[in-house]
Amino acid sequence: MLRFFRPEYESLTDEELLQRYRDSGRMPWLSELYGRYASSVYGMCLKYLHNEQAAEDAAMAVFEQLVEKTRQHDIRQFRSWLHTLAKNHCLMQLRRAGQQREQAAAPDFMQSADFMHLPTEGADGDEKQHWLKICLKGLQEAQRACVSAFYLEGYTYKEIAAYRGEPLGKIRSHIQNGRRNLRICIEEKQQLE
Amino acid sequence: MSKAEQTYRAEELLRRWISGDLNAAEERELERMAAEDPLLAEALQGLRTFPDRDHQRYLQQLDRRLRHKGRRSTSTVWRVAAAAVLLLSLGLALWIIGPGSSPDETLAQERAAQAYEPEPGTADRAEPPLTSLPEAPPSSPQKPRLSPGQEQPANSTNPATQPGPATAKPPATGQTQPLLADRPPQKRPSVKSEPLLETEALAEEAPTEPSYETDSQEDTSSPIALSRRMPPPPANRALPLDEREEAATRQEAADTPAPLTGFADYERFLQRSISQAALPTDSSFTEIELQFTIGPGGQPAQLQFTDSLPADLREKIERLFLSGPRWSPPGQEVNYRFRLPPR
Repeated sequence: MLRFFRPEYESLTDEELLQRYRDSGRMPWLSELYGRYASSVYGMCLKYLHNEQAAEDAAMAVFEQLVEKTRQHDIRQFRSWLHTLAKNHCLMQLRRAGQQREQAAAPDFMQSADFMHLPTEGADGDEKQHWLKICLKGLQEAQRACVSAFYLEGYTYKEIAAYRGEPLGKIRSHIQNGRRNLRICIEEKQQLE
Repeated sequence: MSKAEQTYRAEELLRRWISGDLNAAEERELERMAAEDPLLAEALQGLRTFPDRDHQRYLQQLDRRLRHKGRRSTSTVWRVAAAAVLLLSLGLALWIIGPGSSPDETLAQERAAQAYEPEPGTADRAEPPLTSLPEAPPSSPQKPRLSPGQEQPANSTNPATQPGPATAKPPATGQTQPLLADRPPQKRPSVKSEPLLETEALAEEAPTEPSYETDSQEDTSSPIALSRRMPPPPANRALPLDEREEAATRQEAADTPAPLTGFADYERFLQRSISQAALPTDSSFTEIELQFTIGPGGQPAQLQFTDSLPADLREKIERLFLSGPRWSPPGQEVNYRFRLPPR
């Protein structure tokens, strides 16, 4: 019965949700629209603010800005527009706090696919596979176990965490560090050749 | 897959990455999408900067805040509507029930108003004529209990000695009624005809004694209760005849033996002090009656129990009386009955 009165949020596009909010002024339309990208906004704010609570607050503040600005601006691509709005908000936060950092790309920032994954793909994949087996043995036990379970055996983060009895964040950390160490090791081996 | 679908898929993968439900293949897909999506790339970078943090918890908090914010504007309308309906219903219910009381209550209020209405010649008196008060039934359990042979004058004009609605309320918790029973008149002339209420009134006038007026069960609307709060008249003042009679009665009541803390507090003291372990197993054994003499220091002495008691209970009660609150005046003999605490 209640489902009958529930708006069909999921079937609407961003632009349709935005239009409905503009027409009615009802917050659930905007809340649903923003909720689709709240994780991205939170992650992006975390990149700039380096604090989880600050990122959460910033994401909430961005939503509150949306309430008025979505009515004032002609928005064609909501997601791109939201990216700009959220980024400007975070930079403004840093500027107010006098903490603006040089947001240079971190050395392990993964813009390319082969950087983010085990360095076994590409033209020299067979050679990397060879070094991978060698370098994998040189990892710490936790890193080796997590990397093997995730990349070679296909388990999810959560499954590995449950199996090892460790927090999810710890497993992510093991895999991320193990992957970085593997990449460094393989590159060194290749250079030595 | 359209661009919108790709976007939604990327967001779904990001949420699953945060919750830990992603495997290596799906993560590879997410990273490929992030390579073409600046917002997703920055988000993933920020999240991977702190891989060991519980991002899920912060996103759940954010989701709650968003839902609360989203609901607030619309739910306010419904809340106002619901409040209006509730108020209307309440008002309708009150209107149906009506402001008046039941017929019995109304009649009782009218009778009370008539009874307390001062007569033209007595408008300046503190107490209304008590002869117009309805008398409590003789079998009322709230009436002060007297020992056999200690009867009240039926037509006494002394307000303090007149039984009525105010005197019907027990002085203490209502569970127990201390009995101040006299010895035969030839033995104890000073307390032969004093009811309990007069004793209480006298006790309240002593500045160091706890007052019964603090008792929550006291009927403050009663004229008797009001009169009990009035200060006593000065002794050196030339009093009218009625007041002199009243003063004489008060003086007579001053000789009535009573605990300095008042009967109610004394009864509570006994109830609290008698341990459960010392209580007799016989359930019909609920009251203790004893006689004692008030010693020079106010301590009960020469205790004699009317009934035979278990030795441990007898010793316990003797200790309580000998070490408990003091009585006055010294030298008086007292018959005292009190209830045992419930087992």
